[in-house]
Amino acid sequence: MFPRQLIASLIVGLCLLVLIVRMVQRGHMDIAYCWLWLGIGGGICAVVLHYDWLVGLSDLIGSKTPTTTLFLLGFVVLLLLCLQFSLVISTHRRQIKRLTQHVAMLDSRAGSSGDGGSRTQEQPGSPS
Amino acid sequence: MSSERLLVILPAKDEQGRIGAVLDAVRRVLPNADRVVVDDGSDDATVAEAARCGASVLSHAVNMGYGASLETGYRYAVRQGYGLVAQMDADGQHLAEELPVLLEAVKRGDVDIAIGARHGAGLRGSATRRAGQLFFSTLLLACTRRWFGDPTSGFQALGPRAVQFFSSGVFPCDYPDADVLLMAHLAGLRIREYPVRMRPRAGGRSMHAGLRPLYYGAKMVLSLFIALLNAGTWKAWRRRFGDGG
Repeated sequence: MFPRQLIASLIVGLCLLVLIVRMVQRGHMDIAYCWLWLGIGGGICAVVLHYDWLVGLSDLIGSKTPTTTLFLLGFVVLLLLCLQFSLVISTHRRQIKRLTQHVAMLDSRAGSSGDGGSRTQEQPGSPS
Repeated sequence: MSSERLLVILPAKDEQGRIGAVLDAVRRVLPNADRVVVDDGSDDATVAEAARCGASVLSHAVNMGYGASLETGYRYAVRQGYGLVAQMDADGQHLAEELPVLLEAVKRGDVDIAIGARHGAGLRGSATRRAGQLFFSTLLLACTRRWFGDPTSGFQALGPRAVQFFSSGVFPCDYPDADVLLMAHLAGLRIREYPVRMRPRAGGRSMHAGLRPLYYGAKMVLSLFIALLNAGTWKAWRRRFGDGG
């Protein structure tokens, strides 16, 4: 790596780390979802400071150049981020569904005038 | 807020068969205290058992975590005007007979947070867990210059300033332990540990089971770091609400 590339990459890595920590500090990002981003920032800094690790990894996976390895790693990281988002969205969808059903039943109970509206009661913990 | 009104908060998830005895013990030891069970999405009859014992029940529609359950209890306490709050686990580990020890310290005005610290190595779990507790106690010592032997104890009594602070949105959703103590210390709350007896967990699944300790350790280190970065925020809170004494 050329010195300018090293310095630019190190700045990017450090800025990303500082940005993520600041976002967590200010409550914009929950700690539970910051680990991959911290890993990316830390990974960039690690590659810059130990370029031989990248060269070694390239040899291990059979990449012709370390640049190819970097692109591959970047692609894998993006895949992992997308996978994390899918899992989180799925969890939130289940929770929103449960909350929506809960609100609907509370609404029904509060304004109950129809058949059985005041007699039925949701049991917390019942399967949704 | 009335300093005379006492609320005992019991966060619970799937504690059927255990919570009834805990609630009865609290009623026996503190007949004038109100009890609230914060049900965090139980799949069993925890809510029904708590209601049969005459406790108020706040049910989360979805599972939000131990910290969120405690915060629900604190917000309920503030909204209902309780000046004194005690919190304990619903699984039978914490003895209601030890609550007066913690409450007296808070009532006297000596402390804002009285923590019931378990003593006796046998009650602190596996060697890994004890090593983890020692690690976080040491980190807290470095940050606060005070030793907390049991930083993960959820057996506590809180005065009005502590309840107000914890209900202001600072409480983490999942594992509120050493980071919460650090935040409270930086906000000027007076914290002290008192040795208490505890029982081994009567059953059910611990929130620290499985691979969670790995996540817990990493999260706690980062959380402590973030709490230190936010020292200015906690000091502003201290200026706004005053020192305890």
